[in-house]
Amino acid sequence: MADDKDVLRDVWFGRIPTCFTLYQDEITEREAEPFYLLLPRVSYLTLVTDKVKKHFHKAMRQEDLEEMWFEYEGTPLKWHYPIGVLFDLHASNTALPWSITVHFKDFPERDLLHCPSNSVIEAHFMSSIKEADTLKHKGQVVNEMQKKDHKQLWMGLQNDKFDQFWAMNRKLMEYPTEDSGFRYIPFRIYQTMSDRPFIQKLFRPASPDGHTHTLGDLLKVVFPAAIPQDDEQKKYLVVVHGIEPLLETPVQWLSEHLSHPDNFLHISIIPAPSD
Amino acid sequence: MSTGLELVGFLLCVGSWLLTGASLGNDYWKVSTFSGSVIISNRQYENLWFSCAEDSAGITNCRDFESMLALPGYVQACRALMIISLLLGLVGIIVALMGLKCTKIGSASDETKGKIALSGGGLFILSGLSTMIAISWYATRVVEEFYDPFFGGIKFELGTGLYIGWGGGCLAILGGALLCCSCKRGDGRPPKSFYSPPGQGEKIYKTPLSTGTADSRAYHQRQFVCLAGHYSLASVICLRVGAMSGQGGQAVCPWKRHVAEQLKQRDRVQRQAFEEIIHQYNRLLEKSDLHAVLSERLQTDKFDHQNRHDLSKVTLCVLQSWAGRGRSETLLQEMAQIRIRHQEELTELHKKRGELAQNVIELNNQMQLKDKDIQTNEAQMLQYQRRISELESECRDLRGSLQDLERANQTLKDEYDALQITFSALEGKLRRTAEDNQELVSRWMAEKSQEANRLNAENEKDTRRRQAKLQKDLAEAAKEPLPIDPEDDIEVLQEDAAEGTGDTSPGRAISRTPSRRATQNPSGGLLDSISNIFGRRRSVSLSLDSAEPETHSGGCAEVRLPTTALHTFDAHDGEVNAVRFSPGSRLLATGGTDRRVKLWEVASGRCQLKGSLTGSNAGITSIEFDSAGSYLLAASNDFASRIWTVDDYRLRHTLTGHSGKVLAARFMLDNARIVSGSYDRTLKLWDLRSKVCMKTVFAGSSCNDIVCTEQCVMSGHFDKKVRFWDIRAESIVQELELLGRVTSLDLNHDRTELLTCSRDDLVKIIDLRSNAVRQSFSAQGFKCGADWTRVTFSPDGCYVAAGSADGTLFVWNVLTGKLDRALDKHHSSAINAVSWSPSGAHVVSVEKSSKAVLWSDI
Repeated sequence: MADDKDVLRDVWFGRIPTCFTLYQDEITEREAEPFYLLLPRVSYLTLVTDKVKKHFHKAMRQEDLEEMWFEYEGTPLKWHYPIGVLFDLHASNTALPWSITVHFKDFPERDLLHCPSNSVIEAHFMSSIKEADTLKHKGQVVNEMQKKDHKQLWMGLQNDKFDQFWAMNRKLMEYPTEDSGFRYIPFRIYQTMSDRPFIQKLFRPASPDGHTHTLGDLLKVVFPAAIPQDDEQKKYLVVVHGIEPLLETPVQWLSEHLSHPDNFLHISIIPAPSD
Repeated sequence: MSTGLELVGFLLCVGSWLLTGASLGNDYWKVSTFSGSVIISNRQYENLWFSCAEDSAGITNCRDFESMLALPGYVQACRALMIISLLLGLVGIIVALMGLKCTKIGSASDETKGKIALSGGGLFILSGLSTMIAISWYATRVVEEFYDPFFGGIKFELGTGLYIGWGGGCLAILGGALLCCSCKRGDGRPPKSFYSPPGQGEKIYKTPLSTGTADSRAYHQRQFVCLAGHYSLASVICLRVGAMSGQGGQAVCPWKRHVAEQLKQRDRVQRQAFEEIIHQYNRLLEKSDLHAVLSERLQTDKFDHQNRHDLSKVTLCVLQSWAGRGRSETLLQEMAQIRIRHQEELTELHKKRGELAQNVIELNNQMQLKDKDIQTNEAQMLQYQRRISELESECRDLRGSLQDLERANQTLKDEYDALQITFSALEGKLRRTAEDNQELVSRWMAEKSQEANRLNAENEKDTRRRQAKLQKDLAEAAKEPLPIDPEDDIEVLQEDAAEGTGDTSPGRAISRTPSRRATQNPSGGLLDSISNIFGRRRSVSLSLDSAEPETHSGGCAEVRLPTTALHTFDAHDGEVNAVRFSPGSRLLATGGTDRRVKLWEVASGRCQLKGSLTGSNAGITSIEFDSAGSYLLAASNDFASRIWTVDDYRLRHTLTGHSGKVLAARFMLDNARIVSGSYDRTLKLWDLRSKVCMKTVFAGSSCNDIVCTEQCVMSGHFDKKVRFWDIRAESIVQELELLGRVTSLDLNHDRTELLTCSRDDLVKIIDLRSNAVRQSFSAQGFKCGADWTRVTFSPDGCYVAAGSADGTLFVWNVLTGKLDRALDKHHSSAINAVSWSPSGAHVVSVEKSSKAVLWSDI
């Protein structure tokens, strides 16, 4: 159990070193220094980049300021994905730090959602939690919570308070003793080369005969290609929080421990490096 | 679920608190019982604060228990317990309200809320217990008193307040239990997550780390699972696998270890490698920003700054040159002096400070003394105040007792006044009575003297007449030349002389007359005839009381015992109630239910109807002739008495006024007044001259018969009593009780004996002088038939005649007291009345059917 707690802490405190650089076409008054930052994996881009915004604002003319957006190697970064997912999906094979280009112009309306304030992030976050809880407990737990409990979850995330968040999130991770786990595992599988944003299906944590489902079972059902054949070399990496868990890992445990704060287990499937 | 339970518990608690309050305020803790009590119009009830009494009119009087300490211990305890219960309940409500899940008072977590609710529940249970104890204690006392046979006071029953209190107590305990229960449920549900609050969790996580081997770690893990009640699916799996394979815990879950290691690895690569660098970079960035800003500002300030610096340098130089002009020594000396002075001053000040400190100490001491004084004064004041309050209360008590005494005094005074008034009234009455008495005595004396004078005059007249007659006789005798035995003459003369000497006492003269006659009778008819003539004349001229004995005595010798029925005749249509001979014995009057009085002439052993007197509206009950035989008085059932004249059969007077049947009516001896007795339990005295009722006397019982002497009226009553009345006063002179209802009264000729007949079938003679029964007559077969059966004396008073219910006429001899005759066969029904003719020759009896029988000795 000590391990479980440590895992939670490690997951929560996972950081990605990032280097923000201003897009070269942006008009500046003076030279804009790149800005280095450790981004929390479980958080959202727009939630933690206030400093970045401030830093670059200094260098820019006030009248040129529009909504800030981020891009990595030509790909606009969706702020409504957790940062860890974005990194794993797009940049896990590159050298650190992760270099993100900051834009203040030409907002890609087709690719990105606007994020005028933190309340939008909060709404997105809470809806994710509710969706996850609907899958896990038919939404009972989250509905029984009071407004302040919801606030506590959000504030925990916003202020990076592990204890505050988990004091409430613990309830969401409970399940009836007579069951072997949640009703369904809330998970999302992302991949770079598909048009679909992510795969999401109903998946029970245990088979009807009581056998516990593992990550391998999940992938077998949802994305069979990700499982390497015996003789074959690994084509895909299955990455959660920047690590590759063993395929024998039970999905219930994964869901409880490696879920993001929005209670979803975000799994990225990326092609294995060819070298 | 638990929220609902909690809410229900809370509402129960609030309800219980209200009930407890209501119970404490309720009037009826115990109510006086009606069982075994006769008086149910009055009800008493009590509670902890006052006791009340309510009467049937709904008027309630309540009295507070004035002294708390004088109350019985259990009442005090009950009060205390009830109040404690209410306070606990109040605190409990507040606490439970804060502990409810649905409230948002404070930002406590669920566990804290649970604890608060638990404590609230505990408070309620305590409150309920104290209510129950108080109520049950009180109830026990009431029940004990009820069943205690030696308990002397009012017995009570359990009142409404007690039931309310029990309800409140039960609700409080129930509600408290629900609160506790709901809290426990919320707390006791085993959490399904491995995660626990940090404080608790760290303790749990740390312990297994301290143990060395994997085995023991697994063991400890299991132990901790049990101890803490926390488990997760993962750990369960781990433990299960570990138990099967017998390997260490870390080897058990390779995937978990893999994840942990990978995470560590990831952090090493991604986080730790860059953490410091990025941190330092940011600091540098900030610094450079700061520097940039600073440098800008420095640039602008540079010129100003330099100017100011130069100026300060110049002034410093000037000062130094000015000081260095050789006066430094004197300056130093002055400085030293100043220093010394200052030091002296300092020492002085120190001294002063010491003195002041001394002062402070002294003042402190003084202050302490004063404080002590104040304290003692305060204590004294307290004492005095207590004393004052004691005295005040004593004063109040005394005033109260004084008021009581005054009230008592007032009532005594009132009573005394009332008694005084009655006393004075009685005194006045006494005085009046005494005056009356005086007057009566004097009148009586006057009458007496008058009477004496009259008697004297009469005697004188008598002697004169006698002498005249004697002289005449003597002259006649002298004239007649008959030879007379001289001895006879002498004898007469002697007697006359004797009479002349004895003339002073009239009584003796009167009493002696019959004996003289008896002796004279055989000797010759002459004197006898003379005396007879005298007697007749006298009866007309003189008052009746002297005349009547004359006539009676005249008839006495002729009393003949009835032996045969001379004449049997039908007197009336229906019952014959009354019969009476006229004083002259020639006429007979009968009265019956046919509303008539009939007059019969008795001649040659037969009765011939002479006439009938009409006018009565109902049956006749009693008949009486006046002493001259000219008036006839009849009492009637129509509430009236009537008077007819005998000669012309005309109705003269009707005396109405009774409110019931008039059962008897008699002339007084002066013939001017009438006494009547009625079923309406009154006697009335009528004056014939003015024809009005003079007096009404309440006799107290229905009057069956009346007889009169000069001043005295005797009445025989339904209530077995013979009453003697003085007609001047309204009061009873005397009473005599017989054994049966008195039906008839009769007087003998000299009014010394009273004959009574009563329903105990005894005929009695009462001696009026001693007022005692002298003789009693009874006979086999004699039975008094009705309440108005009349009996009679013979004219000489030697016999008594009475009719029986079986139609037999009984005649007793007074002298021997034995039955002389029992004459039957002529009456067929009960004899109602018997009358003996004043001449003594005839007796007539009338019966219930219409017959009347005339008896004589022939």
